[in-house]
Amino acid sequence: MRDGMLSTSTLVAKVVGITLITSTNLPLGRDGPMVHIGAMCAAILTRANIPGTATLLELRLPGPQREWVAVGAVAGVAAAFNAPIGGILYSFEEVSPSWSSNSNPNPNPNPNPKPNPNPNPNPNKVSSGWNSMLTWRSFVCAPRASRSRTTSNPNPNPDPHPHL
Amino acid sequence: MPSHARNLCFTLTTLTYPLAYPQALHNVVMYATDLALYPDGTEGPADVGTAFTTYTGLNVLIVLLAALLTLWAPSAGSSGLPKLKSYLNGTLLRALRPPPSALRPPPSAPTRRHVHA
Repeated sequence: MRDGMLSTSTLVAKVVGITLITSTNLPLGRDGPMVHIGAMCAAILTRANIPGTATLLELRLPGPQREWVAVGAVAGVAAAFNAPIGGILYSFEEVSPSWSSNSNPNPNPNPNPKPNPNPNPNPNKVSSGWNSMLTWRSFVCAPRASRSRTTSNPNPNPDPHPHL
Repeated sequence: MPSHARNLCFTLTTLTYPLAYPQALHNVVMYATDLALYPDGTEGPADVGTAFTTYTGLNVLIVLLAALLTLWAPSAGSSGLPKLKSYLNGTLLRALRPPPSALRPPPSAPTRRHVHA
């Protein structure tokens, strides 16, 4: 699926292309594409065959996968601008502005095979949009993304005009 | 470390080196054009035309490489935000890109509903 928006090939092409474009000093990229790069990283992580996560519904259901993509956009903005709260606000306002309930509003408190006393009234509903759970996960994710960028930057204060 | 991981690390380092150190590309141009670096810190290009051609040619070559990547993965050519927003809001648009301008019908003549006077 090379043509997909959230495929590995698109991630590779985006990262390599933006690196090349930035190295030529063109007034393009580096901040906006980070949103897409973060979302692609999150989507690829949800689809990866990691041992032990085959039955982890937090990764395999489409609703939580969309939430991971939204949190990936948060991480991208937080890493691009070194602004965790700004990344959360950007993703909340621009990327996923619609509101939805949590993906599992009525979790089963009883172990299987007991039936859930609080069944989901609309089990076919797929969560898409922002919800309260996503806010807390973003607050966990964004500072780590920002910190990773800060610690892995080899040249934190580059001279903007080194030859003048 | 296995060899493919080492090759991947080498490739990533080579690709991200100009980002971390913008002086790298300049050093390449200096080496290619045999520029002189004087002791007081100034540089004296022997041939400005050659230096300009080399620098512009390298930049155009790099931009061409980045542009050819979008032929391999077309979704990387656009911003990605419209598709991302539509996906996160419940719609997956498979063909958001418009057809090429040469294959598009010409714009229609303005009608009455386009006139706001």
